[in-house]
Amino acid sequence: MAISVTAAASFTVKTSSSSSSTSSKLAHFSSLQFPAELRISRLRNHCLKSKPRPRALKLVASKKQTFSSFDELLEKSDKPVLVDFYATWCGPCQFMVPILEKVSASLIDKIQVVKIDTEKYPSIANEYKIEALPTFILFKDGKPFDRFEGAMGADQLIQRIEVSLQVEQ
Amino acid sequence: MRTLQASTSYSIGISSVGPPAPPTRHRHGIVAQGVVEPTEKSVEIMRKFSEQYARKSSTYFCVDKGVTSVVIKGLAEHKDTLGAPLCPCRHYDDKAAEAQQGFWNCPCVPMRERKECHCMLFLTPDNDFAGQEQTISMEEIKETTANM
Repeated sequence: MAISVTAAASFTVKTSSSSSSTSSKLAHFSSLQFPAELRISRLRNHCLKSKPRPRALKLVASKKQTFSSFDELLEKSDKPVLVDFYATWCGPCQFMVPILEKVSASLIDKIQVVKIDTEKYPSIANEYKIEALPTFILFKDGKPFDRFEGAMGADQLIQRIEVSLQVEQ
Repeated sequence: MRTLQASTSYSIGISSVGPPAPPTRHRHGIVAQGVVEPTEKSVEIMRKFSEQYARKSSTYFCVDKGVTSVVIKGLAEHKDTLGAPLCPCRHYDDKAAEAQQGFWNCPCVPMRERKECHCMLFLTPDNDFAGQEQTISMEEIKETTANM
């Protein structure tokens, strides 16, 4: 079963009065797009529909990749993958949506962020024994390396991930 | 206060198999872009329950009422589909069996015994995310979950 992944690239151009140069940052976050039975959600870049703010303007381009399974996505990733297991009506999971966008942008070179709707993909959720939501699993070399539950702020999540990435396997 | 964002997996899925279907009206409410909404009646019941239980347990709603709203709707949705307000912040192997069993029916055992609510619905005052309110109106619920 072919699966296409949409990797969204977000270009942030900051224009601020305090600096004369403009800087751009690439943020990649992916979702698996499975036909019919298997679908993983895409992090929606809410800035697509919002008005440009005075200081930052976001554009989103997307890139499609094809994988035959979640395992293949993990295998083919050149970076550690942070997987967010969530559900639509889970409050803390929705709370994490903008936080994950921020984290994804900050750690663009270090990790790939993927979100999995546990109601759409119960078998994947079962495989990784997901119970409380949200559960975050950081995969290194295709294997679960670190795992934590619950909502938290962006700085805290970034710190947690960076500390984890520094640990030798 | 920013409204909560939701993933758009449903719309992506629909578009990949053909033209998007128009929103249809179901027993459980309007289905728009694939997100099933709970009935207004159940949301009202769970809203009232949440206010009452927060008072009773001396807990408070989240500073971000969007979180409170999403959970209330999640409880309502399970009440509609399973007959009981099963905790929406958990993954289950068999939802119907869990709803029958009762451990995770709101208020769940961890909440009743230790005031532990990982849904961030009922927060003890010492919790970083706890606000000062024990009330939430239907308007607030609707506003903060408008773009789901």
